[in-house]
Amino acid sequence: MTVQPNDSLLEVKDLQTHFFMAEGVAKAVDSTTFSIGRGKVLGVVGESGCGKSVTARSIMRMVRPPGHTVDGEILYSRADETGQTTSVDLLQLPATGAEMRSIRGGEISMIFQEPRASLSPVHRVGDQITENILLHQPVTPSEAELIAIDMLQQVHIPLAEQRMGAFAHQLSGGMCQRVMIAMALSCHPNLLIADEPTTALDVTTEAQILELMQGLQAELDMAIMFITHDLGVVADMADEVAVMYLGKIVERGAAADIFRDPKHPYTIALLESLPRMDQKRDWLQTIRGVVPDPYSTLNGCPFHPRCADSMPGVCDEIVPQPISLEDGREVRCLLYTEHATQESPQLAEESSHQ
Amino acid sequence: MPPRKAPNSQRNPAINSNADSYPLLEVNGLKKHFPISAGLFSKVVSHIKAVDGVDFTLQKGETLGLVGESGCGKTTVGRLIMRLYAPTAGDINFRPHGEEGAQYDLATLDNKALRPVRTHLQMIFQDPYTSLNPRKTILDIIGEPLRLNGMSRGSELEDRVVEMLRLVGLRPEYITRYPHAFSGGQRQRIGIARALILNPTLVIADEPVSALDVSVQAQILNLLKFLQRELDLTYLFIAHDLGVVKHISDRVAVMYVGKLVELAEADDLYRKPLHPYTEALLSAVHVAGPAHSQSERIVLEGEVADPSNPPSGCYFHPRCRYAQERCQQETPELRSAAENRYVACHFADELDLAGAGTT
Repeated sequence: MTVQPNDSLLEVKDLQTHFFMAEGVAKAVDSTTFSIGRGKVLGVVGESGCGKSVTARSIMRMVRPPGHTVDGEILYSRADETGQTTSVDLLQLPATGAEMRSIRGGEISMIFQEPRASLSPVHRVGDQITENILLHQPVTPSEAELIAIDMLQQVHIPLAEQRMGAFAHQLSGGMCQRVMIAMALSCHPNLLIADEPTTALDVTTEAQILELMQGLQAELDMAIMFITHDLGVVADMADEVAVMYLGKIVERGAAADIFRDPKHPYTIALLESLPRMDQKRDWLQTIRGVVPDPYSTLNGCPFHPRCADSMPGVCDEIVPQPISLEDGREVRCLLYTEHATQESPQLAEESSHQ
Repeated sequence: MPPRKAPNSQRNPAINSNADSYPLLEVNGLKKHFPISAGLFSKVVSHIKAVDGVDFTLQKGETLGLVGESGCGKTTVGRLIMRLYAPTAGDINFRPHGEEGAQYDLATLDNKALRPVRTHLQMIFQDPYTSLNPRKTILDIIGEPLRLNGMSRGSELEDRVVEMLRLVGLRPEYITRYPHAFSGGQRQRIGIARALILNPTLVIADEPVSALDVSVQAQILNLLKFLQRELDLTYLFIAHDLGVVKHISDRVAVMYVGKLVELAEADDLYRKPLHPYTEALLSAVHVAGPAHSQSERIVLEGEVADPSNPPSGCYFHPRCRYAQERCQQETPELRSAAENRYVACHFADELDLAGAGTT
């Protein structure tokens, strides 16, 4: 299931986006490395504050001060004029330059969590979609309007032609999210970044939107970076999953493998703490403590104060590096290194769980 | 603090076999219609039927989960019981002093008569960030119900607050801090402490964990269960997350456009729903497990009906895949389908609906 380097659409290497605040430096994204294959769905999961949205905004080059992407590479493969695939480092492009602007919204587009808040309240939705089409495609305004109507039909908005003239407040939350999707897909992007696209929606509407996204993804052969805190949605949508904690990807691998056999203690604990409809448990497993505040400077593994399998003298001193396991899994945990066997051999076994 | 791992105790003893159990709350024909006014003289042109004829009982010591999509009226039901709204019709019979004790009809009591009864009724709110006054210390916030009701003051009040803080798993030294110093989960613990300090009988929890992260959500759910056992509480647990509701509830009621469509014991409802809407809700939930570990997903067409102008007959018929002609004309009543099972569907006996895969 691992993505071969040559067919990866986007490769993020050692991305570091920090926020420089009066309280200190918050390392929202701290050496994050991953890649997304052409036409694949990468699910990024984690709790609030883990850096998943900032990662997305870093790729779009939309991080606002006091946030700055201080280091790393974001290699995006695009076809140049001659049809050759070349790789550009998005971080080397000026964020407001012509090239970045043509990529943003055209080749890489994004949908946001709160559909109503991300649409303009004073412009008709049709105008908002056509604006994006006119920016990125060499078409006339009337052609753009036809494309926009076609997009609205593709996202199953009834009476699309009439809805072109509607304002955001006249549409329900699910409808607004469909408009956002129509806008994001109107230029046939190679990569769609969906940041919690269904979190604000009801379950039945969520099911409609997810089915729609899956259908369009297959049809348009587009890659999706699907950011969510909902492990259930990821299990259903993603080919690959990256689990983030405090700005770092702690585990990455094929979705099926991660849900069948999670390796990192954090992933294990997250899955255990979910109340499930298909199981009956009296008490839920919890993760002790809370996510530390982003300014704290923890030694060693960022998860060690909350980790049930933490090894004293090891986990609080050594910063774990990504370790490749079999089946293409990557995990940042010292339990899978030689430190575990030296200190206490039984721990590694315990943590591998069930 | 609740233990991290499950002690080997039974789930809440069956609802009716509990000798201690009696209907603490009986809600009959509860309605709340909000007027829609328009025009120069704000003439009332129609009504939003937010709650339109809801009946249920709550047994002492049980947890009743109330689920439904946004706008279905579940929060309004909670607020009507709290008498934050005056009901349009119906009665709410409440027996806080035991089976033989006095019974109050919350729907008709005036504000003065409500005051002593209200100490038995408390509410936990959804958003821990907006439900705590940022200018008050934890002592003020948690102690306010005691002070308002003239129950204690001074050092006695402080002792009670410290006791509550310990009970909900917060450190007593936090007592002089302000809400901003706490995380979402800790704030929700403060909200719980405030709700429980008057020693209520019935607690209405309106989406108490939906604003929290999964790991914190699990802590708060465990805490609520632990407190229920310690303090013999009865919960009306309003939520939209079906996994959470299944976990905490003994019985579950499903609401759609102001009416209950199904009410049953949690296990039965999830194993074999009787109403097509319940089936669709269950199938829409994504299970965090290896893919395809669940049955076929039913994607409902269209949107939730407009409560000011609901469809004819069964409100769910335009979205129901089993709808027949009768459903367009006749409104199904909530009726008893089996022991402890109620459903509002004409064809509940004939349909064979899929539940959530129970293993």
